[in-house]
Amino acid sequence: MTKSKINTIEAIMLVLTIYLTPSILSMPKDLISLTKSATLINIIYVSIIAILISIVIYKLLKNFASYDIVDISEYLGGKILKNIIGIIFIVYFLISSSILLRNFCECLKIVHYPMTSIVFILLTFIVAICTSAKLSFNTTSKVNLVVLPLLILTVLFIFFANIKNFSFENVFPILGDGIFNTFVTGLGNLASFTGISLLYFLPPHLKKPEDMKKITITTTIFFSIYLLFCVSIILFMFRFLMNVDEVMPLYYITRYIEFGTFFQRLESFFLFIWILVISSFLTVNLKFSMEIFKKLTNINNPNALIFSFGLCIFAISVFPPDYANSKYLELSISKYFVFGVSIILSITILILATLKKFKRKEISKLE
Amino acid sequence: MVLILGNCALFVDTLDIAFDIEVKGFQQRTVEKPNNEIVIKGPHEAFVENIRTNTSLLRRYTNTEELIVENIEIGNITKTKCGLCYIKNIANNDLVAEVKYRLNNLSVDSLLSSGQLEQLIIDNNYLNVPQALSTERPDKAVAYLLSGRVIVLVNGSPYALILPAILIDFLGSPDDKNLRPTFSNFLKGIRILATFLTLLLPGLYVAITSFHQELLPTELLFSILASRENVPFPIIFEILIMEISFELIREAGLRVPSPIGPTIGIVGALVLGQAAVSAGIVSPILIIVVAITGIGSFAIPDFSFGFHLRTTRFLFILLGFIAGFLGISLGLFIYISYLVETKSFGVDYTIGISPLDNVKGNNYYLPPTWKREFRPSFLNTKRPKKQDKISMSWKYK
Amino acid sequence: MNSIIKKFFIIILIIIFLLAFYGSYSSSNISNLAVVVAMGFDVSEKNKLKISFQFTNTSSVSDTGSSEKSPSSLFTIEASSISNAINLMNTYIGKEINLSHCKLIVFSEELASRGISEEIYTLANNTQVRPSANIVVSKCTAKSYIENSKPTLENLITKYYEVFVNSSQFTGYTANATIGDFFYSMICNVCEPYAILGGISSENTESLSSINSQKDSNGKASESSLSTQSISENNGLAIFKKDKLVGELSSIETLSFLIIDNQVDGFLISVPDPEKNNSYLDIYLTPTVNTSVKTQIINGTPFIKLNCKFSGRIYSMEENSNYSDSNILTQISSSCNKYIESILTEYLYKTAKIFNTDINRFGKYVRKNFLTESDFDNFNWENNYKESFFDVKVDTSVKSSFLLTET
Repeated sequence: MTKSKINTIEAIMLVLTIYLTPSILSMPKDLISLTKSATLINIIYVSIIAILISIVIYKLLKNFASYDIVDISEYLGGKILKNIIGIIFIVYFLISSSILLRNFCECLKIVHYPMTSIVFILLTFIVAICTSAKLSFNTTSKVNLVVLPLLILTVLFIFFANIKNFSFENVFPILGDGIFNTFVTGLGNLASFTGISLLYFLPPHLKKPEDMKKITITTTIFFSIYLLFCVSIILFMFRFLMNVDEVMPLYYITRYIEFGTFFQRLESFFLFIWILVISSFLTVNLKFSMEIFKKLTNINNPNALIFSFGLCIFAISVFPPDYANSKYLELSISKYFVFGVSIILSITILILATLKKFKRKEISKLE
Repeated sequence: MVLILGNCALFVDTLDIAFDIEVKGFQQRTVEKPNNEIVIKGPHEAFVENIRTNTSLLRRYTNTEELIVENIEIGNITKTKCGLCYIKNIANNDLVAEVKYRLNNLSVDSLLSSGQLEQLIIDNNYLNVPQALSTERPDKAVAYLLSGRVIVLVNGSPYALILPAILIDFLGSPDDKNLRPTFSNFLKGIRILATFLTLLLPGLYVAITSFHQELLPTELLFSILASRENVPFPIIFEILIMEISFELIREAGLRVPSPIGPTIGIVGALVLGQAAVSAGIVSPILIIVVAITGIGSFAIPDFSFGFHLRTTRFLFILLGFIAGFLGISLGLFIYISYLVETKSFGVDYTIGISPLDNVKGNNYYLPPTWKREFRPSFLNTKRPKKQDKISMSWKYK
Repeated sequence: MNSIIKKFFIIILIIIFLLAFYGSYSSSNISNLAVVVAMGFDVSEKNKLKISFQFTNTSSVSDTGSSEKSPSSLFTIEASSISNAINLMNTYIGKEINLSHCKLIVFSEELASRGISEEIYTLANNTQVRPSANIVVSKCTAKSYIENSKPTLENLITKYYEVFVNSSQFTGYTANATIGDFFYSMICNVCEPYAILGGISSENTESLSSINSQKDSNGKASESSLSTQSISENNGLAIFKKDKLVGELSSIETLSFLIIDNQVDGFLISVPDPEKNNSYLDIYLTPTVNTSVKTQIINGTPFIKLNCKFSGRIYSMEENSNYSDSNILTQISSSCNKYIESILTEYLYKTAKIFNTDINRFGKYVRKNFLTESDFDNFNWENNYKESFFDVKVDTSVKSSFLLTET
């Protein structure tokens, strides 16, 4: 079986899928509720930090030509560390995708399917992604090429269609809740950079591993710009209301789009496109957790894997009893996982492994 | 053996080989106007059943000694003659070898048409999308030959198979290159619209009226409601009745002897539709939906691709009925996934679909003629460029 | 064998989904819906809500292309809350009520002055209600307002509801107040909501007396006496402090509001003729740039500077007038400036001192003067607005008349 590799633009799109998809849900609103009117400044500040982090990751990954984080941890700490890291990331991918799925379905149920049990709405997604995940890895990344531009288009469309409703005075007071809140507490907004976690798994899949630098930097910069758009839509649209929380702020804004008296209430079309994006996001997550699992166990029966992982996502997403719980899970998971796992833990492993490598080199030089 | 076939053998002294000369002649159809692929500005010649006439047509158009026609016999009993044609200094060797390999390794008793051959040599068939372009026009075939593709002719079949074929080929008409790029790109845009209408319109209609009525402008909603006032059936039933009777009319129109052929179309479409509406069985808006879908499917240049869309739309009607936009969107996701997975002789089927694909020489929309510098890069041809950077050298040199 | 199991599995799955989604299908299928086009809220004698729903008879739009006026039916129900009323209504008419095409939401004056936050929150929480539905406060009961809203030029009542607010863009006598906007203005701390003021006008009674201010009646006083039957009329604005109705704006005040809020594309105004005493000139003014608002905090009180620019053309024409002379035009311009400045200033002080409600959203401009959110909160804008001082500058340049320049 030949392992199919993906080219640079596909890799960029893969990472962007992980980055952009959460913005459909409450992510931009969460950013704003943390830093208030200073969110735009905060995002620029946070993006610079994120770009620095991604450069560090790239520099560290460069030392291990086409290893991913699981291979590197095996190099560092043997089988045990490999298993631990692998399982942590699998859990991360599964939980983040199922919570996102749950929250999205919650919104779908409220808006369009009031009489249908949420279990069945979840099940439709699971069936769809399992069917699609049966196909090759290349397919998953290529579907993104078609689907993701649609998401970017919708956000641009929302921005320009609502520009007449914007009140740009909303960036004032310029410092929000004060300097400390914007630049120290506001670091919490780094949690929106979820796509960083995928960077660790890309190298073995790339056709041109030397393009890794391009991939890390382009995706982070692109996401920062996108985030600016998303947040400014929500910031400028609503006249300052921290006490109201919408289920899906972007969706809520699409309700305000109207062109004359004929084109009103276009929101279902946005949901239509976002369903595509969400399924694509889920498939990517499912695919990557399967890849890690394969690496850990050498199981080579993809069909059984797909269904067990699909059922996992289903089970986790059914688990929270109500929206409040799943929303809480989403917030805490994105925070702890993004900070703990994909930034601190992984970078520590990379640094330690690099040190080990250099030490070995020195030893071999001495000998 | 040569003599049994009715050929003439020519022996020349001092040569240790003999020439096999085909001297027999049969009653056969002459080269006529193409029936199913009609263009306005292109030539009006079509392939016929006899493979030799067809190869001679190809050679007359290409006019180069680099055109290779390899004879392959397929079928244990029929030993049907097939011609594998390619241009030697353009076509990729691996591609030619792959096609030859597949053609040589078919164990069937008989092969009677190029339609059968197509199904025997394609990679996989998840979605019933056509994966080889078939044409009855020698000019179209030659255009593809010159861009580095391989053509298979089957004796007894007036259609040539063009391999490999990708999705956007099925939306192209041979006349596109004869027109100005603005006009042909406009037509190409219309064809994309037709594709989406054929595939999704009835499904979307069902989905919107069953789940998402707030999307409709109020006046439109009221006119739909008013037109449905006396209709006893639910919308899904109504649309299935009309879609199926549309397919019935289409199929019946094909069978009817040609003098009364047009009549059945008029009787079926006009009279039946009008009667159904005035009897209150279906609503007039639904007739419009079905008619647009039908017209859309015939705006697609390739017959089998149009057929594929027409059958798949029933799936989307079902999905739209089950879960509205959720069903259609997830269905579309799976559809796109399988479309992307599909390969035609190692070439990704969906190349050029995503705006982010950077494929030289194979954009869906045509650049001006002087700018068509490259052959499609996915074919890996031996001569990637087909004209100089400055092609109109009379103007700039 | 394997493929049989697979096919079986797929069929089972389809059936499961069919059953699972059937509930939603039957609840949102268009043939099961009763489409509400307008809603009205009144107070009943027992202090309960009296909610009216207006439906349109769809058969009027039938295949002939609807030559007749569409009959619409109105149902009124007394209930303690909206959801209660919808439930009761569902049982009465035997169809599911759907609010997603509701274009107009009417509150009676009595209810509005008691506070309507509960209703507004409920409507904003409803997925069906479109945020662009217009909100009207009616001087009469909401029921009779809806009853008397009859489309005059359109066939469909919904078309009429959509169209009538658009006139504000070129008349400036009412504003396009939507429920989404109302909701956000109500809960935000730098702005206050407003609604369209409606009522019934008829030949004999003059129910909108407060609106037809005598001062500016030249252009439009005849409007209310034009109709022979009683029809609903929308003129002016109802303004709120939080969720309570606190006052009404006459049409000229509404115009001032729209000018400051940049919502008007052009309007007719009668200014005193600089040459002749006691005569007025009608001028059509169009704003050339958006009104600029500058704010300062001086000694703890807000100071708000407004700057408007218009270009205008003279609408009314008389004998022996000469509008090709630039001196005369300058004179007219300055007369315009003076007149509009006085209107705007009067309007602004009225909102600040009498109503104490910031419907023009100056709050968002005031925010610029603060560095952090908490500073602004400490300033307590909502109560400080009444202390505001205004400085209005109007810069009009009257270009000429229309076709005739000299008579």
